Amino acid sequence: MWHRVKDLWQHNRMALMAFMAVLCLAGFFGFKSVGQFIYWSDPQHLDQTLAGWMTPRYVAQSYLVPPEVIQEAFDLDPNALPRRISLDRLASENGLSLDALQARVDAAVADWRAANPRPSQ
Amino acid sequence: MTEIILALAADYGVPLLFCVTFLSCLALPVPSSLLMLASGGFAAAGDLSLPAVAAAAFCGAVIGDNAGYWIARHLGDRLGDWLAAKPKRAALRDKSEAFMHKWGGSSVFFSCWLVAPLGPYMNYVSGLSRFSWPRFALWGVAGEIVWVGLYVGLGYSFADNITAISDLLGNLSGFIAAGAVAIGLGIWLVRASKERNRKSDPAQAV
Repeated sequence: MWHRVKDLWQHNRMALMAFMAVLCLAGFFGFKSVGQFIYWSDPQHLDQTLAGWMTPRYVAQSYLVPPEVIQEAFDLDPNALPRRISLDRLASENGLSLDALQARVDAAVADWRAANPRPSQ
Repeated sequence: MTEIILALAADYGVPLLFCVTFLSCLALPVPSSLLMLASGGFAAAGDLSLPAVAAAAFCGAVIGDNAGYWIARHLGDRLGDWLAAKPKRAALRDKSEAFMHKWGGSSVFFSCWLVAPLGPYMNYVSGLSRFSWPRFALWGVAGEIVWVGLYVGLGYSFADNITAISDLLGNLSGFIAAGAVAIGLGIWLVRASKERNRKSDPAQAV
């Protein structure tokens, strides 16, 4: 084993170094995957923080509440055409920050969850 | 880049997805897997139509694969004399052609989804080594069905937490791609060393 490594170091140094580098890369991604799996398995981390790309209906889907709850929280007209709008645009059109939207969502979702303890299966 | 593309997803939906999967198959750094997951999530929320999302991602990927193949193939034809000029280059080309002849189909198939980070380069290698186009196209279509089905399907099913899925899949596919390259390089290194042993000391050869 050792003599083979020495032999490769003498004759295929670049390839051997590339091999080591790729091996380290695989280890890095492997550890990160395991770490992320553990992190996301924690139910506390399940509510996604709002991001600019999300749509109101997607937020509802993510927090497992009816779409109307989020539409109300954002003062959207539920009877308006079902329009896709990103939170980024919604925030800038209303002069709000994403954090302000997050606060509204948190409050509305907490209210809804208090009123509807555990969705009936 | 990821932020910019994702921010456009709500406004441009399906056409954006088509363009992004197309470009990602040409090795451009666009977040195709994340956009497929997000579009699947939008479909689950009722903001996009699921068949349209799947069709756009699939068509973009297949057209992108084949565009990459033909670009490389034309380039390979032009480089023909340059490659043949030096024996070392010609040997490399012959070797990759032999490899593709033997393993091309399955390599194309798995590079589409299992080792997706290597996919675009596989398209270029296939074109450069003049791999049979019908075989390339057929295996590519099969691979893209799996890729699109996997990502859009995961986005649709796990719509309540795209962030988690995309983090996990990103690292997992990096792990698989790096692992595959490490295994390939390792096998090649051991073979090279064994061959040298045999040449330098024929008595020891088994």
